[in-house]
Amino acid sequence: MKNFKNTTTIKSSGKGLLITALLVAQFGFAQEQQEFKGTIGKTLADSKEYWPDPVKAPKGAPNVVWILLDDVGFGAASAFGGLINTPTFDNLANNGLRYTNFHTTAICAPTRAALLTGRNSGRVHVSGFSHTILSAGFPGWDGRIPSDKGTIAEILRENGYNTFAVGKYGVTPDEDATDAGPFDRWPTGKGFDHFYGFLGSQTDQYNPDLVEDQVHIKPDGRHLNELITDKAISYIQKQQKAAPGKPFFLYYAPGAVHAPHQVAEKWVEPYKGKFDEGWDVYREKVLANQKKLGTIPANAVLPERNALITEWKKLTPDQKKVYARFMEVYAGFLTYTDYEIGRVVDYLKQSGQLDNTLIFVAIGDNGASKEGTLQGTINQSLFSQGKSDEENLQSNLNNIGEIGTAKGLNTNYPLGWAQATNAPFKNWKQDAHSEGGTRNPLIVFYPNGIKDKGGIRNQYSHVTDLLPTTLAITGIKAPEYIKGIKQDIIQGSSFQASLDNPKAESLHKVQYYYIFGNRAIYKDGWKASAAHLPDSFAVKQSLGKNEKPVASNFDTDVWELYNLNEDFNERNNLAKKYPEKLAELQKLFDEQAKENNVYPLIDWQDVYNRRIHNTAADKGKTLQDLVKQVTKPADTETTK
Amino acid sequence: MKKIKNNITNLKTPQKGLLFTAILFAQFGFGQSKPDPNYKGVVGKTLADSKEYWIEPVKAPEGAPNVVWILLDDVGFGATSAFGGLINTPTFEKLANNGLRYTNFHTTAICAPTRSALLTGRNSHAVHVGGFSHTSMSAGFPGWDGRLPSSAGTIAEILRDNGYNTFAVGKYGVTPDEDATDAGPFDRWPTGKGFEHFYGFLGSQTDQYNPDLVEDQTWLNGSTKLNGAEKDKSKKRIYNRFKRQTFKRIDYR
Repeated sequence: MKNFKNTTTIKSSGKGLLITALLVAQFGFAQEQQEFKGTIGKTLADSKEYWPDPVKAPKGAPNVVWILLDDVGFGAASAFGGLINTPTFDNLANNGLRYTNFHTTAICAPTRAALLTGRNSGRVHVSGFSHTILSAGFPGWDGRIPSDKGTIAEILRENGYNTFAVGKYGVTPDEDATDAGPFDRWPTGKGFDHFYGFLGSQTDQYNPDLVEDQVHIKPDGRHLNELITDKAISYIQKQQKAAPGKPFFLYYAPGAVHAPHQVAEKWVEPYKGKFDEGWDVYREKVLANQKKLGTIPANAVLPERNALITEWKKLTPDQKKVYARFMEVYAGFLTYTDYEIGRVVDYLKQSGQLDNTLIFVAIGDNGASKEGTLQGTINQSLFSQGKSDEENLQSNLNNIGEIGTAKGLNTNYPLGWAQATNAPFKNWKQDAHSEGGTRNPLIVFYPNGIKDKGGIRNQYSHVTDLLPTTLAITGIKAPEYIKGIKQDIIQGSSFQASLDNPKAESLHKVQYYYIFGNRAIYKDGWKASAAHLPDSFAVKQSLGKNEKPVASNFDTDVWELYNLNEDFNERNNLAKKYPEKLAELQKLFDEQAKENNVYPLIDWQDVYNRRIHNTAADKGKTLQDLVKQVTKPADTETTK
Repeated sequence: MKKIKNNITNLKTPQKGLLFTAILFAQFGFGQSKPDPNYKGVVGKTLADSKEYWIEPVKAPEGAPNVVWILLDDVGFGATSAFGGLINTPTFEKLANNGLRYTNFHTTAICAPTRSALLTGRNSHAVHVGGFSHTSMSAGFPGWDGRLPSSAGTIAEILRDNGYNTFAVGKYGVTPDEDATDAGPFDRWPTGKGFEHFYGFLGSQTDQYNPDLVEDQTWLNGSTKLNGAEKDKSKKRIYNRFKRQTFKRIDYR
């Protein structure tokens, strides 16, 4: 019988069909089109099989672990000079590298969207959140990451990795986070083989709104940190059993240490009395530690205490007592989280995989949280209004026993401690205009790839850089197409060169920041920034008193100018001295805003007044109702 | 303040090209793969200058029925009472008596080709399942590799993209053996082929009382708690059984 090659000499009425079938013959993992290189005869004897090799990661490609903590300031963890013990992070940093000039977006969802896609949050539609009340029907604001902005999980999966995510996801639209889906913006629709955690922004640590893959499941009462750690280890164990040596990507994003601060008392015990000296002394001690470590300049000076915060010495004994307890619990929660991450690291070590594992630890997705208000919260809602400071203090004193327990469903520490754990920076989470909102410690650990163990790196970097850096280190090229969809450019810059070279130039030259009014633009060490007025405290206060807040006006916000090269913690405003520089940067902000879908500028007043995303389903519901809806614990009626 | 429409033609910035790309790809709604160049909102510099636009989520045609496909395994024409057989099938009888009996319906004559043809509406060879997706019964030819290509979309993919929820339970039978592990890849598992949920077994035959059970992308071989040794043992057992059954299948045919 005559041999014939795949597309040529067949004379049959089905020829057209056959050719079509061959053209679309698809093999291997990504199901992408591959040319058939065998021979098709009429019987097997006349034919030659062809099996393309399954897609494999580059030889020796490391496992990749991304760890992203929630709501931690620059001066919290001991690994960066804070007074909260984080022995796992200490270890990773001492055997890896400390990046001291790493930035986030200043709030949860935008940071996560930018991290996962390597693109700016606005460009991937998450300038706000994926929650109904915090999204709007504009390209930069609808909270729906489009599929031409593929995630790190999609890229690594298509390049021979298994991909696992545990913990907080935070970028699934509320409308989709139901048992009816759609599931394409759940983690498993965005490149993760498995997901175990919660889809929203905040959850009860003991009764989390738990999901596995595409299924809502019932939690068993253990702490979420423990559950996700067990699950992460089990994913890796099973995967390595099934395909020994196949690299994996693990995205480990605990609900910790976002509110509610809930942790077993044994983790709080060691901190009893440790913060009785108060938040002013805390800042001084941390500043000294940071200088000793070399993570800040030797001549650094603390910014003034924020005007909202009372000097510790002037507080009443009752205030000191309840505030200190809040901080002891926060510290215990962070140390416990470090312990659970340590279990993952230990497992990798015991199983002989640690040396070839690239670990990034971002200690915080934004600066320390100001959402605990001046008094701290135990059960007071995130957007609660109308209670005076005195009432809140009294209620916290009455319920002091609930701080840190399962009963405290929104436990968060007071503003004074947020400022302290943000040392040496000004301001907080949400404050995109300020390093206090955007600067977080980053540890890079990779035994096989880092020689300068314990080194410090001061290059400017941004959360969008982790994706390109990871690709550069693993030797994987960003794909032009994912599942047939042409991919948008990746905006982050790789800082791989700095692993070996402490003097490597930062390739990340320009960065805008925008969170609900507050905004800034960074270029080559200079930064122009505008705090938007009225700020979230003022808006809340007015609404609490049933007054109309002062109208906001983006045109009258005051811009400041800093030279971060000489003034890293923004103490010396140069706006008056260099008006041309300021004007140049303001213009750049406008350009960046257009390029990244930041317009229209939406602020907290628009949110509080329900001016955005007023869909039919939510008509008549207050902000309170809607917040409750998205921060609800597991619904045990409908889950199995 | 000046309003800027979405496909801004009057922006004069060096990033114009980029911005334009970003807007072309602005994607909403379920399908994600259908870019929506027809964004109908207005983007100004502040909310007051702007108009939101939310496209309607994809919805099934008004009044579209629920769809249930039931496929039995290894049953001849004269078996069930619904078609004159001597084995009582009262449910089928009832469905047939209140529906229609089709007497001239055909399958491919064996499991996997029938299932692949059913799911895709295309001939089994055209969708690469001339044989099975088992290693021992597939071959490196376009009609035989046992790997449904993504150009031959399944009924589940089509209905899901048209506003249905899609569930599969029971036997799947067209996941390649090599992929049916804890390391995947999972794109030829049922959940990679349009089913939002799957609960059943991926192979061709299983112990009815101790099936090789999978839910979504996870093998259900015990609790989710970590208990190393015990779990490994049970996994190995299941894997061995899986291999055994593949071979048993060859004996039968």
